Amino acid sequence: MQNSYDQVALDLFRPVRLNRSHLIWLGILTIALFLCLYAYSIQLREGLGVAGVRDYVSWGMYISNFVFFVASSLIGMLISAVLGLIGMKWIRPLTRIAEIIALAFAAVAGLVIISDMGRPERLPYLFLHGRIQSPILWDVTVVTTYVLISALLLYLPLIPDLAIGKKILNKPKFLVKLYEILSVKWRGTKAQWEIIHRSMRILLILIIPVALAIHTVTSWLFASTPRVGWNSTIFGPYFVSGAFVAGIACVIIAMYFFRKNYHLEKYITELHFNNMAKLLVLVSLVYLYFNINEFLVPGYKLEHGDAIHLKDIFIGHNAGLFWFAQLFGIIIPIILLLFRQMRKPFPMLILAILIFFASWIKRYIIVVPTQEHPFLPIQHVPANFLIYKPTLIEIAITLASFILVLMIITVLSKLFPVIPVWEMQEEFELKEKGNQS
Amino acid sequence: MKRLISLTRLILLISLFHHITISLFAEDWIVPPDKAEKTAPFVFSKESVEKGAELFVKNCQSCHGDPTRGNFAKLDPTPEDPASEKFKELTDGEMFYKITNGRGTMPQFKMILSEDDRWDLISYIRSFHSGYIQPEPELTSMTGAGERASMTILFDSLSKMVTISVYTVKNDMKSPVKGAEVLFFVKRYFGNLSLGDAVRTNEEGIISYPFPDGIAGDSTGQLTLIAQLNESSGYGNAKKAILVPLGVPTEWISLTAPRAMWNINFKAPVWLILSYSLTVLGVLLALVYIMLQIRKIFYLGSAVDDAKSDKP
Ligand code: HEC
Repeated sequence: MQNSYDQVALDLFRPVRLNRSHLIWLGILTIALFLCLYAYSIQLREGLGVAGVRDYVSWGMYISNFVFFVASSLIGMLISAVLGLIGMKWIRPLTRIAEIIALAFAAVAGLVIISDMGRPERLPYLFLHGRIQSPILWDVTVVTTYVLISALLLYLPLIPDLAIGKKILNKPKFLVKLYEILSVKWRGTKAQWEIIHRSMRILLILIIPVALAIHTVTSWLFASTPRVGWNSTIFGPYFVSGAFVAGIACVIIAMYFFRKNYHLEKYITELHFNNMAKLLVLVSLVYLYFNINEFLVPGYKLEHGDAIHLKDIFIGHNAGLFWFAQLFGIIIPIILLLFRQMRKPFPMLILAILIFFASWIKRYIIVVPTQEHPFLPIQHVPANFLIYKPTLIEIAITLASFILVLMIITVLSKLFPVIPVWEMQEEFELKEKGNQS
Repeated sequence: MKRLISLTRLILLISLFHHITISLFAEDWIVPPDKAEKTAPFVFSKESVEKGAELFVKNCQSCHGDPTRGNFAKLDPTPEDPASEKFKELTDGEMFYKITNGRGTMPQFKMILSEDDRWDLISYIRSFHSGYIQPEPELTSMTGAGERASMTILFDSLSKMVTISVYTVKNDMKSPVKGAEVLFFVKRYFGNLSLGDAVRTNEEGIISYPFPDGIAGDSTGQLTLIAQLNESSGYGNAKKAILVPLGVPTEWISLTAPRAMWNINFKAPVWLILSYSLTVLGVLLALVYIMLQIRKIFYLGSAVDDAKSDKP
């Protein structure tokens, strides 16, 4: 038997290859993507009128989806930076998964915004004519920055792995070549290690304020208006804490599939699921706390507009969606995860999928219902403009964004090991040393 | 859970209350009988209808829509279409009263439109009411009997007094008008500032107007004083304006002059420009540093390779 040090590398590089089932999966995704892109071509030709957005509700599914994407991308920061910097060792096998998810969602978030533009060719105007006072400009700045930092955070710890992989992999040829180039002559010298460690530290510290900024600024797109339901001083932390809930759900789903399909049970253990469950409960409790603030305070005062808005989402025509999001996104997971049996991989997968859906609905509830109660009468429009109904085209275009995220995750997780190899090797070495002495 | 229940109860209560107040407002809008009998001071003509149409677009269309199209705003109570039966049934006096005084969402136009303007509007609205016959125009009461008076306004810079004289001219003979009511305004950006109740002319048709203290003028204290005959006293609505240095000198700074959050890009607050640029610059520098570090890894690796190949 080989020593465990090499075994780790072999285990983790085993999934890195192109096999049939993987190509079929990518093929299905591509076909689905093209179907959805066809829907987008209709929107390009006919204009935003083919989507359900109208004069009253001008931010619909696309913007809700954008908020959701930005939210999900925040998880990279929580896992790698916050937990990593405070020295949580158990999190190490999950950092790359979190980083891949973060990069995929953040990169596609930019595209989602473009899907909400009737004249996407005018995107450069945003930079040419944008006002520095506008939160939209800040948002564009900060999302772009976050994509860059996430990409670097994914890449830096990958460099030593690439050098290892170069030796282990012998095909396909292009991959070996790619590893050769991307590993930037990594020879594992002390000086090189120092650079990696120092740069990682800088990036991990840097990504915390940037990640907080991307979701806080996204919340300001809403909170800087006087609209009921958006006009809130706690929108920043409300969004950020909600983002962690959504992001952890994504990571749990990804953990489950990678563990199963790539046979990584030795590396992603039940302990990891157990710990992620506790982390999920913690962030959900924080999120619950902000939810109570967000609804109790205006609900206590019930100013005119608030009364209408709260009535609509509590018992009105958006109540079903609202309570689904609150129950399945926050309350039920908190309660169920108190039980040890629920913190096993499969029950957690189910819960995570529910939370994932509920989190999406929650963004929809934050964005859409308040626009159905305009402050001023808008004239000369058909009555059905008042209530927002997403169209099939809109739904297809939104699906396209999810397909893109899946494709990015699939490709990245096939090209590179999803668990940091050298960090695992380090761990095994330490364990062995412990055994010998 | 209990919290939620009581919250829902509160919401229900509030919405109930809301309904009650709305339905209270929906009560009939009663116009005092003497006001309802009022009639226009002139015969409606093509000109008055045209003038009214113009005023309607500016002041009323946003709520009442285009007459006959029924596209009024969805307010509660509804503004209704001016061509509708509901409007047709009103007397001229009732319509005048409602436009003058407003109620709830229907604005008060007392200070916004002159009486003539309001009558022009009514003549326009009436043009949609088939079978409408205008009642006999109200012959202006009092001595003048519809005679239109003229007015002069003078300012004496020594005594700082504003003097108004109101007179009628007949066969080149000026005769002073006693007891004519004059209203005073100061011209402002959006409409005129009323200086209070009307003042009556004395036996000689003169008003010595004591301009009130503390009214803001321009940087040198100049302001435009407007005197206007009150139409209801029956001498027409002659109007005169004069520039007087009676205001408090005031520096008016345009809201868009200083740097502000709502201003154009080039007038953004300095703190904002600084914090945005410095933050972006800082992060960019950090990223460039990281890129350079990656390059350094490459050079270090090359050096190791070179050392190996040098050692045959
Ligand atoms: C801000 C919206 C608004 C504007 C602007 C407005 N109205 Fe109205 N108007 C209303 C509403 C609402 C009512 C019904 C009020 C009520 O019944 O309490 C109304 C009622 C009236 C009525 C009485 C109708 C009746 O059935 O008794 C008249 C006459 C009228 N408006 C004329 C005008 C004219 C003329 C103008 C323009 C100078 C004007 N309105 C501008 C909202 C408006």
